[in-house]
Amino acid sequence: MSENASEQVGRLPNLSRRGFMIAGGGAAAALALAGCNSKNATSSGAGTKNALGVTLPSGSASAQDQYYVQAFDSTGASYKALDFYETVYSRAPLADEFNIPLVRLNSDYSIVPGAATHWEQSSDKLSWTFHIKPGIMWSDGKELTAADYIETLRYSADPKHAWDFSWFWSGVIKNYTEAVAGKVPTSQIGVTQGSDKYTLVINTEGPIAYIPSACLYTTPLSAAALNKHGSGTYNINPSTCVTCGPYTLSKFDPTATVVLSPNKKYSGPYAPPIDGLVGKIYAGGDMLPRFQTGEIDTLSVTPLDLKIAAKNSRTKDLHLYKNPNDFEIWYCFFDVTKSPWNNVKVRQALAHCIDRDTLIKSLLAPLATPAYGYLTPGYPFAVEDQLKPYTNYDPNKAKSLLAEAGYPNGKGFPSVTLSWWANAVSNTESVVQALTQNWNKILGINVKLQELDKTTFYDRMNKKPTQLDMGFVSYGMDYFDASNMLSVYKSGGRHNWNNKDYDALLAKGAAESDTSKRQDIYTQAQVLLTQQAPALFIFHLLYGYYYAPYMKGNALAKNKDGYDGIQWPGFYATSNSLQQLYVASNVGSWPRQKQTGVV
Amino acid sequence: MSALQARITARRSKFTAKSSSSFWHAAWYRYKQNKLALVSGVIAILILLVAIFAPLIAPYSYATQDLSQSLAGPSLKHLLGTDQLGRDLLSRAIYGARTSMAIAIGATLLGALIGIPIGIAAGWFGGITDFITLRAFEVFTMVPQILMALLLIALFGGGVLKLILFLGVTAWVGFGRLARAQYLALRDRDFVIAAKAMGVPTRRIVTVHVLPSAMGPMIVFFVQQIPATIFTAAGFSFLGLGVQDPLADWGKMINDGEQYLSVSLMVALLPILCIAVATLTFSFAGDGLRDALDPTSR
Amino acid sequence: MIAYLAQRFLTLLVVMLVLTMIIFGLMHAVPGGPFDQTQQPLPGPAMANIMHKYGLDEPIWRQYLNWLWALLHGDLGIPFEQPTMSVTGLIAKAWPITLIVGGITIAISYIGGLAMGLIAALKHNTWLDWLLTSAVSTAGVALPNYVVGFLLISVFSVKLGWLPAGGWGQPQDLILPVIAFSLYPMALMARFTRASTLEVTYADYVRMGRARGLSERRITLRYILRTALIPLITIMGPNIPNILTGSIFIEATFALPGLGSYFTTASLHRDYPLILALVLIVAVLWGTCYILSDIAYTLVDPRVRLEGLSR
Repeated sequence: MSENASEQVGRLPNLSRRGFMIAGGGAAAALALAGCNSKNATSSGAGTKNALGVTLPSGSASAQDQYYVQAFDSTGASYKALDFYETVYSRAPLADEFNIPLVRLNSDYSIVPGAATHWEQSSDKLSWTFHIKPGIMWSDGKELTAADYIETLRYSADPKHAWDFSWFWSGVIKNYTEAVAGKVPTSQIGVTQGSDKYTLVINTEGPIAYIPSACLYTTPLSAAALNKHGSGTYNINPSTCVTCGPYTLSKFDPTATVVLSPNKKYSGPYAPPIDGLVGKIYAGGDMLPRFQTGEIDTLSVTPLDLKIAAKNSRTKDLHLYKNPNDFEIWYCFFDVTKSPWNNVKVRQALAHCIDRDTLIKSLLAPLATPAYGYLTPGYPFAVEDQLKPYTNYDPNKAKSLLAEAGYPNGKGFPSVTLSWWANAVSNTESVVQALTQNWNKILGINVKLQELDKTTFYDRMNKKPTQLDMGFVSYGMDYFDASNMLSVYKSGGRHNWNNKDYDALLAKGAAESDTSKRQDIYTQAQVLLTQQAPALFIFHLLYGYYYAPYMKGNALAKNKDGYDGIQWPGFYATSNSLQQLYVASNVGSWPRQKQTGVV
Repeated sequence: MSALQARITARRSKFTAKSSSSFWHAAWYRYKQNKLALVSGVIAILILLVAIFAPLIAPYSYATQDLSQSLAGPSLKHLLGTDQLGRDLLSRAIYGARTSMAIAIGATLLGALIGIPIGIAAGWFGGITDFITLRAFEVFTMVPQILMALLLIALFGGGVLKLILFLGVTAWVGFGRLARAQYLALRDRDFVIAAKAMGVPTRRIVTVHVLPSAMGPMIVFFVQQIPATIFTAAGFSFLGLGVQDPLADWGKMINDGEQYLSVSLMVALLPILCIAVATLTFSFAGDGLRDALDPTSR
Repeated sequence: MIAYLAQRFLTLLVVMLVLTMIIFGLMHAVPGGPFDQTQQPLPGPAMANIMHKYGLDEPIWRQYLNWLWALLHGDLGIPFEQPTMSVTGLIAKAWPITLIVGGITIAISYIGGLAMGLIAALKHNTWLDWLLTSAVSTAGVALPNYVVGFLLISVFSVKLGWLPAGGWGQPQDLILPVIAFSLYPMALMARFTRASTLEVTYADYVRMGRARGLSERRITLRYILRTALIPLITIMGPNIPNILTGSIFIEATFALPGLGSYFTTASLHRDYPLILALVLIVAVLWGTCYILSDIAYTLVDPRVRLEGLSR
């Protein structure tokens, strides 16, 4: 899923046009003049109510300014629906706003109540029960109940629907795998109504501790609308859209804009100050000028954007918000079944020959932190210091390890190829060149580079057996639990490093509900992974954001780890940031382009 | 372009038919008279020499990085500054000449080697051979080039050799059309009919008797194709296809560098200048060559 | 004439059929499919469900026949990139933008190039000739159009702030892309017009016309221009399909939401229906172009005029 996040700012390989930024600078100056003229029309709406009946906080702009414009790059994207359970990878901009999930996430990544007020695990640990708040109404007048969640999850397992994220619940919800394969009807999956229509029971395949975290992805479709239309695409048509969230669809044009306006029938507990959303869709091109000319209210920036923005009077003093978003790890993987990568000493030699600090300082700073393991510090159960001895930068150790492996000074080392695909957010092109140059220079080996287009890269990587000997790739989390990210390296997973001890640790960790015991288990797993080096961990990506100076609220404030800006999962129904963002009265100080007919 | 060439040359081949050392002598004399062509020819040869002797001329390797010198301005150590990985720009421009010229000349040569025999066969034999060849020309012209390139590179991978292969396979149509038109016009000339009547074997007529007459226009077309191919190759590099890092190539350098324009002017400007000079000199040299080999044109 | 055109039309149809077969085979041979996942590959049964839903589990020859059958019914399918639209709808939305930019480009570059080439030829060996041939026409041939576009943006949008740096919607959005796009065909046109005009200017029948005392103006318009046009049809005709299907370089540089960028995204996405539709568009344009230039050729055939002159 994380890759979706990167794609919003990722571009077609080498088609990024950062140079245009100054262009925007010129246009921005012209617009700034226009902005000055209307400056005395300061808009203040503190104390007044927006269309959802929310009293606007002090310092906020008037109610008609309370909308939020985001940019989306359609390059490499496919826009098919607005709901997670219709499609995950082909969701259009501003998806998942027409519902209330069972649970939500706050900016400290803690699970907080959503539609469910509380939940508990059964004493046999084989099921979880969620209690839904009564009285939340859909816009068609029906009440939100357990039936909506049940129908939605059944729909997701339907082979005819062919949902693109069905791996997520496979092996988690009872009978889900069998239903997807068409072996049992979808009515047999382990999601049922409890004692009343407000009680939802999820039966699991075994004792699973992280169900509340995973239940972030319970963004329901309306059972009535789903049955009536046969699919979730009713939500891309303003006349058939059924919502119990704060927004409703008012325009859907997947080549230009998606507009959400306030759902005046909203009866849920989480009404936001921002009551209109605009998703602007661009077919590539540089985003920075669009931000500078006030077309959009926020921007996800690349390391290069920062270099350019520093030379522009409008952006150079703007605060850069940084957070790990989906806690991406960028790493080099090996095909450990093939020589020379089947030799653990060779892998360890390369692991000790990565000058992370210099690399990050020159190519990525401040939008990355060095990675010594799979999990980003701050992510549940992540450790760092215990891993450093196995992968710190130590050229001498690297050389002696390579000599021990039988390749003194790289003598006799076969020529190998590192495959990669271009991604502007992580400056991949420069990073892979810096990595290989260091290995080749210090270890005397010959690592060559091969750029592939993204589809080819993943197809060849995911083939069983894999067709790539070595590649540079990322993974981002799907939900907040170590079991999610660490399972990428379990046997039969994404890569072909199979280790019984590691598998055993993961199985033990998933079933353990005592936090400190889980920590011990996952620490061992992380140490084993870094020490065996089936992958070389290079950096954890930080996402950088600009918000126009009038975007304010607690949603942007620093969290417990010191990261600010809107945290993962973003400005969605699954996050409490929705309620904590507003447009402030200094909106006249920036050339914001007025959007009409939104709120 | 080829069609015009073909028409003009077909009409004029009677001049070149009297191929002899005096013809080439006269051509060289005419070429020398054209100052622009002369200067361009000299620069073009200089570019080729730089390309051939790149390792001897360049102060650094194209791959040598110094991350602490990222995007540094011109200095004594790096005369034209460095790129984002701290690599010497002058050295990369010099090695870039090597890659770009290898691709341009290699692909054009390949196009000629494929296209000319096919064109000759079509023009000489006519009939069904000609018909099929013409349809092949049409199929190859109708293929959207970039779409096709992306699919082929996804299938076979990138790299300089594969780029040359792809561009060559695309370039053959031009040579094919030219050769076809030439032989179509030449096969009914008196000296050919005479040779046939004397019982000279076909293979000998085609190669020894007719080829020298058709040679001039083909050489001209070859030289004129080089700048066109530099262009196309740069476009592919612009899309991130073909040349693999860390190899230097002008098109790739434009693509990488142009986003840094507001950060470091030289990174963007240097490869643009290189491409401009190379295309211009080869174009002028090609025009001069055409005028020299074709006395009726001006 | 009619028989000739009918035969030409039929052979072109066969050529297109062969072409789509080649592309169809190629795009299915390329690694990766339109529904591949990047993070976690889908479990087998789930992937099988998707492939079945889109008919991708059938043998390839049958998929081709299915496509051909739908095509005969005017149905180009659903693009995987924009599944809420039809391929036809997507093209109907994007192509007009490309056609507007391309149409203006053709008008400006062909007329401008023709005028420049003519003037240069008529003022042969003067400073004006030198200026037009060397300075103007070579500027277009020396630099790739995306570089030209990039330089235009740096000057007119960045330094001077006169024109937008890209985008679509207002008339001034057209100016820079059209200039960047026009330069190359204009330079080409000027070069060839000059060359072919010069060739005609010294031709015997023009000298004869002069000797007969025809006015210079009449000679220029009636004999030189008309005869010089013929080779231009063969040279510049084939550029039209290229311009009318847009340039990924121009559209990416100026962020135009036209057809050009789909040539890359469709193949990168393995968007089979869209790939085939784009191939068809290009093929049909080429076919039309071939037939039109055949007709145009006979209309302005030089020998007709020559006969007229000698009579």
